[in-house]
Amino acid sequence: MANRILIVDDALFMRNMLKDILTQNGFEIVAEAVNGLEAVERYLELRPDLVTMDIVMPLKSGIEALQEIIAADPQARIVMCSALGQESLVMEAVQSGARDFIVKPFDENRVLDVLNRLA
Amino acid sequence: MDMEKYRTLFLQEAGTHLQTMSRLISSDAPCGAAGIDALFRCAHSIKGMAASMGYEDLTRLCHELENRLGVFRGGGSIPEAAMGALEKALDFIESRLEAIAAAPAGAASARAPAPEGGPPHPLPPHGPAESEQPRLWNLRIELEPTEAAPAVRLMLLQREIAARGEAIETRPDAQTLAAGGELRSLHMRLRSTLDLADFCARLDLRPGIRSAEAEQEVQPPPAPPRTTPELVRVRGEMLDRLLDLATEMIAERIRLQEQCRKQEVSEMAAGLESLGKQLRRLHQDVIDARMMPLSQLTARLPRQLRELARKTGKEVRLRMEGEDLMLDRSILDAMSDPLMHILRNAVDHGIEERGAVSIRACRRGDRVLIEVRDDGRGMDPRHLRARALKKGLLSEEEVQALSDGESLMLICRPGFSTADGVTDLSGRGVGMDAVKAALEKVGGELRIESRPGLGSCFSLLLPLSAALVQLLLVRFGELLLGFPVSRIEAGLKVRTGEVRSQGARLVIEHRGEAIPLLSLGKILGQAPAAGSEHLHLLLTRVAGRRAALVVDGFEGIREAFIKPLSAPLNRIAGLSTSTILGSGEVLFVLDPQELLPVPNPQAAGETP
Repeated sequence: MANRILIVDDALFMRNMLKDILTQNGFEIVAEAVNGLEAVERYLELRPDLVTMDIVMPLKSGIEALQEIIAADPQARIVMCSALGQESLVMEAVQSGARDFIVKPFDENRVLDVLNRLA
Repeated sequence: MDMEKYRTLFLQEAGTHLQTMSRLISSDAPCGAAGIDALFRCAHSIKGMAASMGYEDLTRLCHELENRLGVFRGGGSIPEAAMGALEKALDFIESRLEAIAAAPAGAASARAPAPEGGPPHPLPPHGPAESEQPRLWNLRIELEPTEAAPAVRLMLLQREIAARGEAIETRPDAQTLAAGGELRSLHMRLRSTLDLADFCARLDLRPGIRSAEAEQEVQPPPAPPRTTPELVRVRGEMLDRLLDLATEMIAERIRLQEQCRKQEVSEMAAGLESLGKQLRRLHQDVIDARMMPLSQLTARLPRQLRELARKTGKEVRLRMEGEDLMLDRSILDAMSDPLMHILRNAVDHGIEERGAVSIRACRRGDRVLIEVRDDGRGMDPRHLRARALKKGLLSEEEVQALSDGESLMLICRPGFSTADGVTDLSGRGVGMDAVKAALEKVGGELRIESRPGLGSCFSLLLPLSAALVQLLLVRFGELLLGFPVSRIEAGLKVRTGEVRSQGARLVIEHRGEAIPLLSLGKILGQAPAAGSEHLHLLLTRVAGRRAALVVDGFEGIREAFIKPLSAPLNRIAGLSTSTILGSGEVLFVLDPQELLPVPNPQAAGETP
């Protein structure tokens, strides 16, 4: 079953929350990245099954990283993690190839619903 | 027991019974004892067959019908109040028959009730769970009001759904969704072989989705069945005659072979003539076997007229005469739509609140005349002329030159349609121009008479035998081609010097009219014969406008049996049929109407 996940977020707090939800539900966290640059590097190195990608990050935004990863791997399954009020950015991400999105603060149910369907 | 092979026969027989019943209850005179008896027998017959085939609901209905009719039989007449229910019952039977005809093999409804005393029928095999035929679905998705970034959510859903079939309609559309905003519901219409109801049921359970529903759209009714059935009834003695003839011909052939061997040429000539006579008889006999009564066409009309009357809220009586008249089955088929269209027009435009339509058929020499008369408001030639002018179909002078009789034919010009909007009943693109064309295609003629305030009469003149038509043979370069005489107004031979140019086109003066010349060569992509002193022209009409087709020469008029071309040749524009000449050569028959582009003042000058 496809359960290897790359978590991308510049906030440790967010990464930990997600990590807890996911590990308790059968997912394996293969790596964490703190900005868009690392996200692309980790992805290409580890080829995870799924990616949770924050949008606003230093050095390289989640959208840029998304675009680069998809360019390299069109089958990449990337879920955007957005804060409230970032609708147009989410739209842009989805237009660029993001498969789905979840909104912070995370609801465990929603997170699992989205990721389970993609897995 | 496999009932499938009896399906065609069942549909045929049940259809005939249904037609009889329909005619009985729609005739002018109320149903007497004999009529009720006949209705009873029909219902009984259909019931029996339906039961054998395992069509439960049809069986039950006919059984009920039988019961009621039995009661009426006792009373001697059918009460007025019951007529409506009777009509509904017939409608139901018809729709069930249509559904059965359209259903794929093996999809018969559940097990038949066991006939008295007989063994029970085994259950027919179940149809496949997922239909291979894509179905039309309507989906409606509502998001929770608290859902964040709803437009994005809907966009993702739209993609998910679109991946499951062929999206026909999406509201809001992709562009609106991309613009974002407070959009919370999605409607989609798509074609899919998957079970979208199931998909939506699961979708409904997802967090963030308030509701998700999928509804199958009711399929449009299947295409109306052929007027003439696939199976034909032929009199036994006809088959005997055919057999006798065939036997004679075999004997003749053996004689010929012997004579050929002995080189007895003059005997052979006589033998061939004899064979020729037999062949003509054979051909005629087969043509006769193809003849069917007009009732094949008209039987459905009472019902369809009732529907029309109901839809328009008018009261229309129908009278039919001469339904026994025999016509070739391909003519009957070709007349089905046109006749219906004329009838529709009569109800839609002719009849005001109440009126009568009569369809009368009789023999007129070697043709059949079918008259459709209504006592409605009729057509005013002046009004028609004004309309033609307004629609730009004719110029002022052309309009003035028309007689009243010719003005009535204006309704057959494409683009003329008297209604500005397209009504459900008369608007479907089967205009009077199509009616006229269909008629002429089988070698027939349309005539129109009308008196304002008194009504109209549409006369369809049809040949008895579809296959035999008059052809004008023309030469073009190396080609020999045929044109149906009915499509040609005249053949002209003019001196090359008579051709004038009018603007960008070449025209010829004929009876005071400037007629544009069109080159057959250009249309066929063939180089014409080298220029000569004379031009041979075929005068014809295309979309109501006169045109002259330039050919190399005329080769006379021939009467010939034409056969429609089969695929893929029949898809070539303008090429409709072919025939085989005495020489054994194949002659292609062209239809100028479909072959020629509409003559247009802008067209570049044609050099014939």
